Amino acid sequence: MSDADYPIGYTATLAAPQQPQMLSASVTIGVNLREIAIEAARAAQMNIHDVTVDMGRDASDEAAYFFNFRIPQGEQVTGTTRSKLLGELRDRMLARSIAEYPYVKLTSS
Amino acid sequence: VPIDPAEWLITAQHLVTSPDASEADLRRGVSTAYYAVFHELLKMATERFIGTRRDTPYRTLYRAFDHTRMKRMCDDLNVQDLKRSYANAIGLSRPSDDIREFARGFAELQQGRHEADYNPVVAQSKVDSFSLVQLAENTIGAFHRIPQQHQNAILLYMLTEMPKQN
Repeated sequence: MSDADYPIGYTATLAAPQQPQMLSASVTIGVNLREIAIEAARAAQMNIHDVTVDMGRDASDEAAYFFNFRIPQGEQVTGTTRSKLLGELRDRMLARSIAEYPYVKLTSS
Repeated sequence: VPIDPAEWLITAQHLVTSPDASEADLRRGVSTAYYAVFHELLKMATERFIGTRRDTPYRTLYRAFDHTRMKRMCDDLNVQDLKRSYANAIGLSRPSDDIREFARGFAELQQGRHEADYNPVVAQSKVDSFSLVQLAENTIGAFHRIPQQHQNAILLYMLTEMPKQN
């Protein structure tokens, strides 16, 4: 996977897949996760322009998914909304047997 | 009070809401917000398990908490049905909404702090920083709403191994 496949925000934190089969698995899951992310944002009543998803390792070295939500300029996301979004993401992922933890990053368009 | 988590939260809010906030301010704000939650948990646990006298045992227990263990427990709490070991330890088969809100907030803040302190590639956005500081406040609030017996179990098993199943 080239750096171009990663959203700009997470290049430094990502671990490259160790084996080719992991590459295709993560890409396939990534496509579905983007849809899940959009559904979760909608459920959390968040206005978003775009979302990118990537796999990497978190601060405790566990495999995790990183969701980068691009929101309209000038909008804020309250802690309550962010918490709802995280809950919606986690539950939607668990319902699809995706145990890796979701993290959110917000950027303005 | 040597470390007052409420004061850390106010500092975090000041850092991220300033109209002239620098990149360093935003990063310190996010990091301070995580540590406000972290210290709140350590303070509660130590005062419950040792007492309020700030002596060597107090400091020893306070320093016994490990970020990674705490976060892994939060991962396991942020589910619809708890694993049997957690269910037995906490006394719930399903985590309450407050437990889940606390758990996901703690994990998110820890990752946010890690990015803020160590990621030299990505700028810390103001919108993300503001949201994380508010999340810290909500996370502390959610923990305080958890019944004390469940709080105690969560704090205890953030410190020690979960009991093995019979």
